[in-house]
Amino acid sequence: MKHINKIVGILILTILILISYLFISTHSIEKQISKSINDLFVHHVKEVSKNIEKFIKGYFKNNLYEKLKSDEKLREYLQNSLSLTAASPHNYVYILYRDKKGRYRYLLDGSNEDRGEFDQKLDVDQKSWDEVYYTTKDKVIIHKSSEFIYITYLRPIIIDSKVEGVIAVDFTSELPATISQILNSVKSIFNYIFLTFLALFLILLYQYILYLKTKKYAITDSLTQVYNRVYLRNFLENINPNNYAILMLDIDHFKNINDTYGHKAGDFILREFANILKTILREEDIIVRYGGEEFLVFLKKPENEKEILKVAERIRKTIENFSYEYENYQINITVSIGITLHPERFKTIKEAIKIADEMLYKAKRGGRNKVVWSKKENFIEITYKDIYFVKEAIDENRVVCYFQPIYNIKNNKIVKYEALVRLLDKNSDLIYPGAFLEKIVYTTIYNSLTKKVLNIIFEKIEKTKKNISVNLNLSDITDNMVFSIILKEIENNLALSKYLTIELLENESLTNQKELGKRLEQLKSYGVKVAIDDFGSGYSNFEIFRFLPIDILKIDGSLIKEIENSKISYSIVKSITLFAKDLDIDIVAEFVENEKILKILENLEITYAQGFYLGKPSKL
Amino acid sequence: MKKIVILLVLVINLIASVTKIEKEIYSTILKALFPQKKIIKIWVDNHHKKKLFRKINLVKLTNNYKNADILFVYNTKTLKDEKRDKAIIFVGKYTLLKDYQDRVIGGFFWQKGRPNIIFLRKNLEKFNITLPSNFEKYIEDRV
Repeated sequence: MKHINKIVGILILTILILISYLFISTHSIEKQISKSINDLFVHHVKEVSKNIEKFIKGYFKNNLYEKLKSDEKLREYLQNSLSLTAASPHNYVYILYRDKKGRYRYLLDGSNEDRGEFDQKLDVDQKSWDEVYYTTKDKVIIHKSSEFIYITYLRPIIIDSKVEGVIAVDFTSELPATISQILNSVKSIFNYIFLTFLALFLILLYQYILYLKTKKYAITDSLTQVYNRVYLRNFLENINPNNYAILMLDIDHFKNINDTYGHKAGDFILREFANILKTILREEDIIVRYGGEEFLVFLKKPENEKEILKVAERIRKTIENFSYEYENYQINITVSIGITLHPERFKTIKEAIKIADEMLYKAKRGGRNKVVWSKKENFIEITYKDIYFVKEAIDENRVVCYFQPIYNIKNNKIVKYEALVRLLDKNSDLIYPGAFLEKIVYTTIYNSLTKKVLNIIFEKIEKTKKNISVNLNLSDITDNMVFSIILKEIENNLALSKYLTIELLENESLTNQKELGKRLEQLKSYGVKVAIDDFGSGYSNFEIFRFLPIDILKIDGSLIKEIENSKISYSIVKSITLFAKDLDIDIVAEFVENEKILKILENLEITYAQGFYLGKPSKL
Repeated sequence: MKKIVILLVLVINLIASVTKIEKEIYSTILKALFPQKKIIKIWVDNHHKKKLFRKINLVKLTNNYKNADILFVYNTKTLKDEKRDKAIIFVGKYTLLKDYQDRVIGGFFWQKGRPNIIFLRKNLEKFNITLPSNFEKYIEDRV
């Protein structure tokens, strides 16, 4: 397409150049013709004036003026003879002499009209006539008006080395005017062609402007007037990752604004937010509306990375300090920002964007209104392949769940199964979560996987009517997106939700416990049980029991594994058990690998246990 | 037909340029004849020329030749009227200049497509008119 446009452009340009060349040529042709005609006439007149000189000299040996003054008949005869040469195109043929005062007067006038009398003064172009008089050389004087050429040919009559008079032949020609008229018709054709081209050019220009407008419209987000994803696609194809840092921004609790003040208010906030970004950022920075309330900024890289963080912090602070006025409401918002400082360190720009997205998630989970950047960009070995492997598996239904039984060790009966996610590769080999879960945890693919796993579990519950637990992170509950997916799945399966247990893992320090508690209560209202997983390690904190409605406590497997050999582990498990019993919370011990461990657990009066000794994960 | 059109164009152009030249020449002549006057009253016996003189700033046309500073004459009939003997007369034809050279101070006419000006010394003196030095080349003793 681009080549066709180029060829058409070159073709039009060539035609224009050729037409212009022809147009200019007609001008020069006209000049050449006029010149040739003039030269022809001048040459002819030169010959005529030579003959006149010869003719006059035949009658006079000297003193031309005196002889003509005294002989009127001779004057008459000579004038009549001269008049024979005054036929068209020679309008006037006459001879003037120069008197003592330097004025030119008639000796003879052979003109058939407007004839001057002998000795009558004629006001001529003094300078040119004097030149002929003194140089004794012929001279052509061309008087030009628009298309009218009037030429005077002067030739001195020299007798005895003395100029006795000057022969003058005035002539005009209609021929150049006629030619000019004919060529004018040709020029008119060219003018029409030029006009046609001009019209064509204007149409093309209009079309081009229209195209640019349409293009701009196509690549601009209509609400915020920043670029949209269409532009982003094209931009990413041509981007030099060395030139930019990537900022992923997301307005915090945007859903609340829509819910509280309405969508118009939400739109207003988005517009204002984009405007603030425009004022803070420079012309060379690229702002893209990436999703609903998500913006992507490609920041033209400054010399040091501190500057990037300064810009991001400035954005965060400006947004935080700005108060939006909407229909008498004061709306305050905050923004979370994730940054990839060095996109060039990744295999693809998409991976770099993904990292910014991950950092944004971290900012969100870290309490929002934060700027987070990766300090390990050099060491992140996430590949697009990994992410898309999971995506493909979801799309192609290659997500499976294996179920590990949880026993009541008092009556040796299975009370529940823990669902454990696996992926099947294209050869139907199992891929374990360790290989992919961490890599997708801050991506939308994680959300899709969560949805898929819940689907599988509810299908299984429907079929078997068995209690099944599913592993989730506490941050999944605090994350609006993930929580809404969980909630939707549970609401779609209300009759089955009493069979579901959610095992929560404290994967990071908790913020906003109040909201978290509220959300868990909401889940519990549907009959869902809440378990705290891997308690006694990592982020474990007894305080969570103060504000979270916990039904079950699962003791961390690393403690159970060492319970027979480590006094400390044993003491911790014992303390947790006493604490849980005191709160009337059920206890599950994981990683029961042998009978010895099982006996210890029985002695500690732990009711539930799971592990390879009791049952490996399998299909249900 | 084409030739007629071309000729017509040429004639129109020519008339336009001739009128312009004539206006300038008459204006120069009048300033030279009456350097002190801010308004020069003139009497003209030709309807077409009246239009031309109206275009000259310092000219005021009059219908009464007695009030006029100068008469511009194009008709023999005007000169035959001896009442106008004492007036300063400037003619617009060579024949008039030649035939009435004892009375007129000068003339302006076209000869071979060239504007020609002639002042007669004797008559200039008679009316005590002194022309600027650059007019000397136009002053003749006789015609």
